[in-house]
Amino acid sequence: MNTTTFAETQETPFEKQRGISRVEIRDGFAQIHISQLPDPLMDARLEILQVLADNNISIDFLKLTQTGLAFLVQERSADQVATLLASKVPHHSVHRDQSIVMVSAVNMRDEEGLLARVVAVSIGCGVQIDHLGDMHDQLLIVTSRDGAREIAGAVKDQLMEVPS
Amino acid sequence: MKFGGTSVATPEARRQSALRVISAKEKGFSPVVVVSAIGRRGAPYATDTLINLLKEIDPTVEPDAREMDMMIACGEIFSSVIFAHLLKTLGQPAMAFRGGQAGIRTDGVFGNARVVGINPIALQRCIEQRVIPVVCGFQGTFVPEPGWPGGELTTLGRGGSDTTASALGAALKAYAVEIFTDVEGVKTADPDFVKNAPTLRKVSYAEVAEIAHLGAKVLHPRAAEIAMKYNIPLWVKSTFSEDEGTEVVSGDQVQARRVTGVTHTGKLVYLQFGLQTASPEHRKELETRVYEMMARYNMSLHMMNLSPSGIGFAVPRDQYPIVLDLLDGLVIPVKNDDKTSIYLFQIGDKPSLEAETQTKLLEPLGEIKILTIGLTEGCTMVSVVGYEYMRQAGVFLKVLRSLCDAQVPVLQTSDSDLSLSVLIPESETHKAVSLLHEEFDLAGAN
Repeated sequence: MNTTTFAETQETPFEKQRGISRVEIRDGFAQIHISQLPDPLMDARLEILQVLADNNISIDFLKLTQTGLAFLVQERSADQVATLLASKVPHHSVHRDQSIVMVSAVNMRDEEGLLARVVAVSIGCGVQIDHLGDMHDQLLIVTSRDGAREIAGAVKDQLMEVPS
Repeated sequence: MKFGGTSVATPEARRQSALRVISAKEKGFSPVVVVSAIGRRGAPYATDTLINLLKEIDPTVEPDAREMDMMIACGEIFSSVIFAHLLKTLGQPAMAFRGGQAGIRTDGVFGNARVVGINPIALQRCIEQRVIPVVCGFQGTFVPEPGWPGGELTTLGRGGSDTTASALGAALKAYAVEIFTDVEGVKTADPDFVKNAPTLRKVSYAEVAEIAHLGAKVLHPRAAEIAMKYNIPLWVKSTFSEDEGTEVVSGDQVQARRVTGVTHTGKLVYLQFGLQTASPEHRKELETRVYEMMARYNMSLHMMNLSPSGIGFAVPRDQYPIVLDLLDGLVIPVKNDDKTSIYLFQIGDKPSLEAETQTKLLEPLGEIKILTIGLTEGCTMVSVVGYEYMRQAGVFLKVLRSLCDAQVPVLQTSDSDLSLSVLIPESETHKAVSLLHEEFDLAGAN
């Protein structure tokens, strides 16, 4: 019996290649940083989130910082957010032209060290990274529009295997 | 039909599992069985017990991955032979198969191999003869080069038996893949924390993958991914109840904009790197070197955070001793023009003996900048998983408000398209899971 022939004719191919399968960029976000909120800090944070929710503004990548919080909004909402914050908090900044780099790999967490490798390469690009997030199959990196292109290029060059 | 550890743990459990197989055959199906090792941690043939047999020889010598795979694969071999023989005693012809004998070919990564192809000819012959194949989950064969005798035994890593079942289902063009476990299906929360947490009747492949990613151990994402790719109906059911279980379906078959469940991870340790004392031009290099080190030692990072004051991430409690070894007293010299700055990492406010010794040794070389790593032990990540839900306004507010009102301290947050997570003290896990389950009205979910 020629088992090689069986393997060639009847074998079903399976799990995708290891590592990164795709790198994409999502544009059109603005990064909001709020600092020096009064005590009690969590109450002050909640007050801001309440204002945003009352105005139907969706936020992403919320991070609690030492004296405030930071988050991402759709760029089209940036002016509205700036207006709302102007009356509420003295110390805030709005950075437009932000993007999300989406690095896809099946079951990222199972490939131990992969998340750290992607972050190391991204930081190594020298651009300011504002936030990181992860899902079962994606690592999300928030940075400037230009920075996103630089990171995407570096991740593709250094970490993506060319299919043989 | 895949039976997990608890479904084959005792003679009674094995009998119940076998009766399910026989019932399927009597209904006109041709069942193919996949089994995990018998029992969980501590059981005589459980994977951990077998690993210990090697490690206790000399705990300082790490066994080779190849030999480790041969050892731990024994658990499933025992299980498949016992299950096949049980079926025979119940009047059903059955035959046990190792992964390689079942035609499962993998790549050569011992301990975490991927299935690259399946030739199910031996199983098909078995089925044609009305014999029930009982296949060892979690294992396959790597053929280093054509004609390599017998091939090398490999194991598939976490979720390996679920993956075996799904992949065999796809190769055999199965009517359905059923994963039998000790819970009734995919629950909205850990039933140990939320009594009567309902079983979801349908979840999408993406939801179940995210739930697993964030700590629930009901079905491995690799199995879901294969089933999705080959469009094989996938079910999660209990061996021990008649509940219909959970069907894993494509995203268009589940209700949009819903919260699927609340999950929690195991114990985590959160590390915050204060990099304020580093020169701004050295920050990137220090951050890169820390992450490179975490990658080199295969650390599993959670809640990654970058901010102007420093970086932070959480690691599983069992990986913390390695992280401590790597980071406490770590010296990173950074060269800038002609000058070299020396940075020394120190865990906690007080230097350990190691950090102190390093400092003394390096003093003659010039100024040493100490970078403190803040440590929060005993944390857990609790997550709300939702399909097309996280983009709605006010979701963060709802989570933080309810935790804050209940005086659950939130150390950090993280989110994605499918989930929203909070890092909290481990002691508050029960309270937080119950609260969020209630807040998102999951008692009536289906």
